[in-house]
Amino acid sequence: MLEAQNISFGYPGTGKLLYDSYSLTVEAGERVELRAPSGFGKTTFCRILAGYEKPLDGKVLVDGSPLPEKGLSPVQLILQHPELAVDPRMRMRDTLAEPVSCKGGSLLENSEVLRLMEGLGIRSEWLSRYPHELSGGELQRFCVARALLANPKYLIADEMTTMLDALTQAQIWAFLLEEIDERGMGLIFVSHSPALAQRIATRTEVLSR
Amino acid sequence: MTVNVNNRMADDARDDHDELGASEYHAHCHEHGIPHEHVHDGALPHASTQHEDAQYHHGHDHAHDSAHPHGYHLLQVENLGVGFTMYDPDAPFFRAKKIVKNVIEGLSVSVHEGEILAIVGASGSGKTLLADSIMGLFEPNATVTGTIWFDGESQNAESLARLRGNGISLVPQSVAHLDPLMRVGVQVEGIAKNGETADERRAKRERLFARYDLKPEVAQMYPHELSGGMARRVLLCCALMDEPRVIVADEPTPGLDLDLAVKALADFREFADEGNGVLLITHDIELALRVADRVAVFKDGTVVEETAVANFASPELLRHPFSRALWHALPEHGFCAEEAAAC
Repeated sequence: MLEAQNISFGYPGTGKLLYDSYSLTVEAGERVELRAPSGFGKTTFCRILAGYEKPLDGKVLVDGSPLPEKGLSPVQLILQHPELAVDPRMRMRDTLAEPVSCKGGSLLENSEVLRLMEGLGIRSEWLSRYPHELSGGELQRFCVARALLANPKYLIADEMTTMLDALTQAQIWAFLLEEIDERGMGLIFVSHSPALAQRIATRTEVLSR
Repeated sequence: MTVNVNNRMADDARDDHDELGASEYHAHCHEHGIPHEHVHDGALPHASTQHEDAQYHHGHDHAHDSAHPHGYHLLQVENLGVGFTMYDPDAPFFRAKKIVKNVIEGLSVSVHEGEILAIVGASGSGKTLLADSIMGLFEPNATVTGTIWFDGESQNAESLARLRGNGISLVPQSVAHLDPLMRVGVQVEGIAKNGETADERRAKRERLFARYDLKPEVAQMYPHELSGGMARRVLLCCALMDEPRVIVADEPTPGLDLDLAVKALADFREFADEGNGVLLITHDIELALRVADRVAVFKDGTVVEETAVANFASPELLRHPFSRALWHALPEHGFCAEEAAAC
């Protein structure tokens, strides 16, 4: 169970709170759509859930314990802009290996890596490239694979496929949904497309102050 | 970089024409996908051709109000090819020879007066290169071939560069294209040119701002102070300052929520309705279907199908398997991930 308890947050210097004591609970196996108007702070809330931002007040708990300070987080975030989620000076091979080396293994001996690469359509020739040599859709496949390699219990997808065409979007979601089902993970996602949200969500939460 | 102004196909057609009767010639052109109105001025006034809704005709379907008022398309791109010279990536590093990698091949699209043509396709399929080619912006290692007609005249690299901002304007994706250290007002006004004085341009900028609901104080702001919706209107004003006939909009909507995106596209609609043309480059097919008259489906560097939006009502009306796959992949239809699918 992923719990956000009484979260309050505001960016320093603005003097405004984005949310004041907002709580959200997501069970494993649930797929929750997070909805709010443009500029409300959906992305910020996603970042808080994944531990990128510390809330001013309140806490985020996974199965009763707080997010770890070091090592792989059980809550993984996939961003809208994959090009901002990878190191521009690292080859894709090293980017993909980040969670694997965290656990002390090497990349291509890992059968899980090969399985994810095949499932997400990542070609081995892409591994030696730099991020700017790949398109947005190709990069996003890497980001999804990297998040799944960390064996998360909860996945947060913040406008994950907004930058992608319909076919790539369907391919990535089809694979991800299957993977989520198999592993019994929970999903929290943000989407601007009502049709997509309707297809994926088991529940909708409206973000409020 | 080379731009073949008169492409070979058009010359061939001209030769053939001498041996063919007028009606046979028309059929011949249809067969070969050659835009006959460009080949022989006045030979067959194209304006007299009747266009019904979604009628298939020289390589593309027409929308309800697609018209050819002067017997030609407002903007026509014929058989465009873009290739890059690079070192062979498969060869050993020091022995790598230069090779030409073709990114776009045999691409043809046309924009009619008063319409929005959406170019949809996968990211990385070369959509932005098409925009660059129309704007006359070429990378130093690019080889560009093909023919581009604007307002009935065939263009070359020099004339396309002249048309940039003087007939064809670009609406870029984000405020990142504005100078972050320059106030928005002066930036939109630009420099006085074409015999206009700075005062006239300021007056024109004020009229545009008023029309698009931008308050006068916006002129004093810096780009980072603009909200997403304001930014997109400022970028549109930049493009409209020089009274273009064609706007090329490169991914103008990502990052905007649905309401804002629909509003952004409504502004393009209004511009097109005044008898101008819009080439809307986007990966968001749902949005394109809401506002465009016709959709060109882009795959692996070429347009596989150019069709009226009405044809997206049902997959049977689409000609190419990839367009049908796109249709099935939409969340409101099958959300099907198979490329060769009918689920």
